[in-house]
Amino acid sequence: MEKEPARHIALARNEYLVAINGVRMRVLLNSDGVATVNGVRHAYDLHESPEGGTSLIMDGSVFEVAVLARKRQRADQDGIPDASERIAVSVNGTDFEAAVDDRHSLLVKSLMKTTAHDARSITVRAPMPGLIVRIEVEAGQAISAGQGLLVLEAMKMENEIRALQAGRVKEIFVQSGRAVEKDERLMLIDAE
Amino acid sequence: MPHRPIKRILIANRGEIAVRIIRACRELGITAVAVYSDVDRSALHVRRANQAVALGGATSGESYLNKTKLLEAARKARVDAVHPGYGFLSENADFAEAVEHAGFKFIGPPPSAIRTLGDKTEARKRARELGVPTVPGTVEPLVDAGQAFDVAGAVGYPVLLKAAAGGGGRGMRIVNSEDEMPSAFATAHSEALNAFGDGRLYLEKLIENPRHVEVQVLADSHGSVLHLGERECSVQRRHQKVVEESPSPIIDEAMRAQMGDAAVTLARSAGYVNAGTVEFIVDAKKNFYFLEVNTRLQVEHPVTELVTGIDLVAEQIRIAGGGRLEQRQAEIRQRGHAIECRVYAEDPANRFLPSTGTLERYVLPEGPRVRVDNGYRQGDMVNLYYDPLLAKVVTWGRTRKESIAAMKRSLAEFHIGGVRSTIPFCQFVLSHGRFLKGDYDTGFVAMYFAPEALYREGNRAQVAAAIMAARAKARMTGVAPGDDATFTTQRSREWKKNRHATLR
Repeated sequence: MEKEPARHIALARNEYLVAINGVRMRVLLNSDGVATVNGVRHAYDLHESPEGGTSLIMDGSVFEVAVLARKRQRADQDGIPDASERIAVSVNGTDFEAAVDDRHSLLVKSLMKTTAHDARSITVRAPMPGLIVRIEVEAGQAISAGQGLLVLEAMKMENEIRALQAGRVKEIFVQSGRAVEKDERLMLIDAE
Repeated sequence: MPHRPIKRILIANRGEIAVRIIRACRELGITAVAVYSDVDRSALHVRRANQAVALGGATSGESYLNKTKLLEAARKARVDAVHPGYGFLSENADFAEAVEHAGFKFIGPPPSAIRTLGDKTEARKRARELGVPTVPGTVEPLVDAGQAFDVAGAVGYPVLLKAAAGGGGRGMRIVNSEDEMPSAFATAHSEALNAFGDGRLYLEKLIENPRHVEVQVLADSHGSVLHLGERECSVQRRHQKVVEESPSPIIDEAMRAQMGDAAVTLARSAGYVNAGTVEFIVDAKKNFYFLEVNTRLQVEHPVTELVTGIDLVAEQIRIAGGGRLEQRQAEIRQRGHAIECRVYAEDPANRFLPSTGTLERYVLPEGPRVRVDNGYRQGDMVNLYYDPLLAKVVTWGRTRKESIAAMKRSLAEFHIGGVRSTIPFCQFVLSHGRFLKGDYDTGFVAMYFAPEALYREGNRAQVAAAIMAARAKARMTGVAPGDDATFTTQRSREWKKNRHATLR
C-alpha cells in the first residue's frame, strides 16, 4: 500500500499523515475550525452530543461522526511493530480505519527500517477470532495453491483456510481445539 | 384435546426475533418470559420482556440450545406455551415433543410434521409422491463418500451436498468435480454434525444460479391451510439470504397460484399446523422445483406481514391456542411491495467474515415506511457465541420503486460504529442496475459484487474521517489545533518550568 518510506516528509507539529483505505492525506490542523487536507482548506464545525455521536458540518455538508475506541495496535510485519497510530472513525455509519503519523512516529519509523524481510515466508493469520477445529497439514509438508490448511470455526460456521500459493509448511503455531484471536499467527509457509 | 388459553409464553431465543415475539405477546396481552445466557443479561430481549429467567452459560449449548434448562425455565415461570423463534431448537422435533410432554404448548408445528417435512430427504420423497417437481438427486441420505461419488457421476457435476437436518447454509457444499468430493464430504458432514447433531447428507444436481423463491404457509388445527404468497430471496452470500422482497419481480398471478397450491398440498399431506415456509428454486425458464420446508417462522417473515397485513407471530400464537384462521385463500392479497435488508455483524469487504466488538455507535433508522426488528443497543458487545444478525430493516411502498427508495434512505440513517456490518453491501445491492430491474438470481453476489464497490461515500466522508483522525491524534499527544513548532517549544519550556515549580 505505502511502498515509499515516509521519512523524507517534513511535517509541522500540527500536521499529520493520514492513510485511509490506501489513500494518503496530509492534514494540517490550522485552527480549531479550519484544516488543510492535501493543500485544500476546509472550514468545519464540531458539536458533540451527550450520547456519543458528534455532528460535523464541513464546508456546509452535514456528517455524523465519532472517534471509536482505539483499535489494538497490530504488528505490521512479523516482530516489527507499526509506529503509526491506528484510529477508527465512524462517518455516517461507516467505519474508517485510519493510520495516523505525526512527525515523531515518522522518525521512529525511519529508525526502525530494518533488514529486508524474507519475502518468501508467508505468515498465515486468523482472518477472524474462532476455534481451530482441525489442522489439515503437517510441518514440512509440501502444499499446493488452494489446498486446505486448517479449519476455523466461528459463529457455528466452519471456514477452511486455504493456501494462497504453493509452498511448504515451515511451522504451525496452533493446535486443534484452541481458540485464536483475529490476526493471530497460525502457520508459516515457505512459498515456492 | 382441552385448550388451556395461552396467557404466558416462554421465548426460547435471543436477539431481534426474541424481541419480535415479545412485542406480539405484549400486543395480545400475554406475559412474555425471556430467557438469557450470562453474557445476555442486559440484552435488549431481556429488557423488553415482562419476566426473565436466567439459563446461565455463554455458548449456545449451555443456554439457548439446552433443552433441560429451557424446560426448567418454563416450569419455573409457569408458562402455558413455548415459542422457539427461528434457529436454535425451532426445528428440533425432540424439543417440540419434550415441550408438549411437559404440559406446555409448542408454538410451531406438531413434532410429527417437523419430522416428516423438516427432514429434507423425507420431504423430497413426499414431494415426488405428491407430484411436486423436485431436483434430480438422492432420495435417501448418503451412506458414505463412495455413494456420493456414484450418484454425482450419474446426475453429473456440479452437485450440491446438503445436511439432511439443517438449513441456513450449514453443512452445505458445492462440489464441482470428483477431486473436490472427499474434502467437501468431510467438511459438510462435520459441519452438519456440529450444527444439528446429525451428520447425514444428501446430494442433488446443482441448478446453477437459480432464483430462490419461497411460499409462506399458515395452517390451523381445524384443517384450514392457506398460503400468503411468495418471498424472493435470491440475494445470498454463502447460501444465506441478505435481501428479501415480496412480491417477487418475476412471479405472476398464475405461477403464484401454482407454487401456492404445491406448498399447501405438501403442508396438508403432512398434517402441518402453524406457520411454515416451503422453499423452491426457480430456473432461468421459470420452472420451479421444491427445495425444502422450514418448519418454523422465517427470518424474513416481516416482508410477508407488510404486504398481507397479517401478523404471523400473532397468528402462530392464536393457532397454538386452538384458534381458527379467519381468512380464506381468496381474501389474501399482496398489497404494494416490501423489502428486507438483514444487518449482520460481518465485514462485506472481507469475505463476510464475522466482525466482533462493541457497538460504539448504533443509531437506528426511523420515519415513514420503515420497520426495524432489532436486538441490540449502543454499547452492546457483539460476541462470537451467537448468530451475527443485529437487526432487520424492512420497508414498504406502493410500488417496488418506492420501497427501494425508502430502504436506501433508511440504510443511510442506520449508523453502526465499532463493528462492521452488511449495510454497505445492502446499499450496493439496492443501487445495482440488475437488482433495480428485478433481473437477478442467486449468482448475483458472485457475479457482480466486489469489495471495491463498497465504501464509495466519496472524498468528502474520507476527508472528514482524516480530519477527525488527525484531531484525535493531536489530542492524544497534547497538541492543540493551530499549534506550530515555535509556539510549542515555548510552551514546553513553560511546562518544564511549571513542573519544577510544582515539584518544589
